[in-house]
Amino acid sequence: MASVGPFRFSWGDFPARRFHPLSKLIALLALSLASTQAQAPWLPALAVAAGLALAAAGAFRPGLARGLRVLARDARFLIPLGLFIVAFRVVDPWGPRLLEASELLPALLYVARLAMVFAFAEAYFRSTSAGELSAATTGLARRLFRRDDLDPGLYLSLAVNFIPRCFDAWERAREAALARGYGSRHGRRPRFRASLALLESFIAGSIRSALSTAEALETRGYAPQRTLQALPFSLADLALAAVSAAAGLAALAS
Amino acid sequence: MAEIARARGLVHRFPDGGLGLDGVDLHVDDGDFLVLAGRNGSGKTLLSRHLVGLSAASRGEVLCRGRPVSADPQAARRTIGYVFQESDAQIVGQTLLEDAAFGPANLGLPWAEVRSRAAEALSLVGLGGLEERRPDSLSGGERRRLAIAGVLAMRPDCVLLDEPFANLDLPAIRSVLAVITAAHADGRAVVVVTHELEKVLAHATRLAVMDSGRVVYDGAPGGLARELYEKLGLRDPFRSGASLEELTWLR
Repeated sequence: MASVGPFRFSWGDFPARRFHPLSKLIALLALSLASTQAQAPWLPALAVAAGLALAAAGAFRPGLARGLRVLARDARFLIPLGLFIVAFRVVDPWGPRLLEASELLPALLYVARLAMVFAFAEAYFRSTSAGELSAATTGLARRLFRRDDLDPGLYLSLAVNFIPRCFDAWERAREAALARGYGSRHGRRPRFRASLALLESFIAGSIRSALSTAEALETRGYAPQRTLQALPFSLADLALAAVSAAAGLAALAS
Repeated sequence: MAEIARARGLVHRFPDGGLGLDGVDLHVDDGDFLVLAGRNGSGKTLLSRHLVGLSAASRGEVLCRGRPVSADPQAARRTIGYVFQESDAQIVGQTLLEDAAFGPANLGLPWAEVRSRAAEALSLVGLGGLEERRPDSLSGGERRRLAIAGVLAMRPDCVLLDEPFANLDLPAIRSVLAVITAAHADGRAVVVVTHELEKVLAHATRLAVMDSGRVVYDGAPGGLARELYEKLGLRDPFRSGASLEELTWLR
């Protein structure tokens, strides 16, 4: 099974693991909001907060250098995105000047904000399992609607488990096609037809995977009233949620 | 011994008219270690699916503890724990503990009980101490043992395993076999669906062989005439001259 999807949960007894998924979610949203609104002078403070959050989530447990390498690898999608943002704002073929140098700093600020959001999200996903978030979501829904047969969290769990299976199905379909000469034919039409066959195989594989997941749920006696993982909401959770929400609101107000 | 499950005159006709099962009669009792063998396409997996209510009969019926499975498939699935051949399909949790806890959580037990059952099941299959690991970090054999743990955590009366040794290397086969024999020693009935008789026959109390959707042999593990193995698409496990007890892969 490929290890893909946003939940790069890592096991271990890290400080961030002791918080409730919902208090961490509030913190993630508030700090991401603050990051997107922050001006340059606030960025070092936010960077420190992001570093602390990542450390609390165990990102540097294998060692600072190795942890940073892993983070850099996971964040590599930011490079093309950042280059695109900078190019989009700085290069202006229809303006009076081809290069608007004054736009460079605001563009870099924008990229830095994105990096902050990534760091906070990474800390969240490293310290929260999909099962915990699923249990918290279902628990909240049951309390809000006063019904014990609601289970929206299960869809989240299934989605997180299903994404890697889809990637697997795609890889299997692609490798099977490559082994049978896919990509070796020239010309748009044959290539298009081969791509359609590949897509068809991928969709069929995904449907099969979805059906077997449904059967697995049935054989394991799935009931919407299932018992939820006990996740106590402590004073520390309340404090984290309150402080983060205040920071987010302050960022919005400024 | 009380009867856990019984297929009575079970017929399964596919939408294209082909017969998957052609009047199957088979029972599983408490304490049984039944090996259900047969060539590919003989109907073993289809029969297994009927035993847990995943397929609907065209004729005949399947009873679980004396009640039709079609009337209450959930009850049948609590009594008979089904381990899929594709263990990946059965994994729904993001950590080993979450996955093993999924079944008992569906029984509505308190979380402390759910957790303790899941931890105990993981320990039984040799995955104790790895509760917070991710299933995708496990080897194929470990994932199969995790799938078995997910079923054992529900404490069923019978564990039904579909091709539990498929695609596994020797150490993984041994570890899965050890888990299966331990589950049987623990008082559970076990049904192993396989065509690799030599790997498991030494531990069986009964052998049933299917061919073309029918049960053509149901009796003692060593009772099938040796000239019939090849005809039924199976490899004769006794061809080396070994006795039934000597066949075990656990040594």
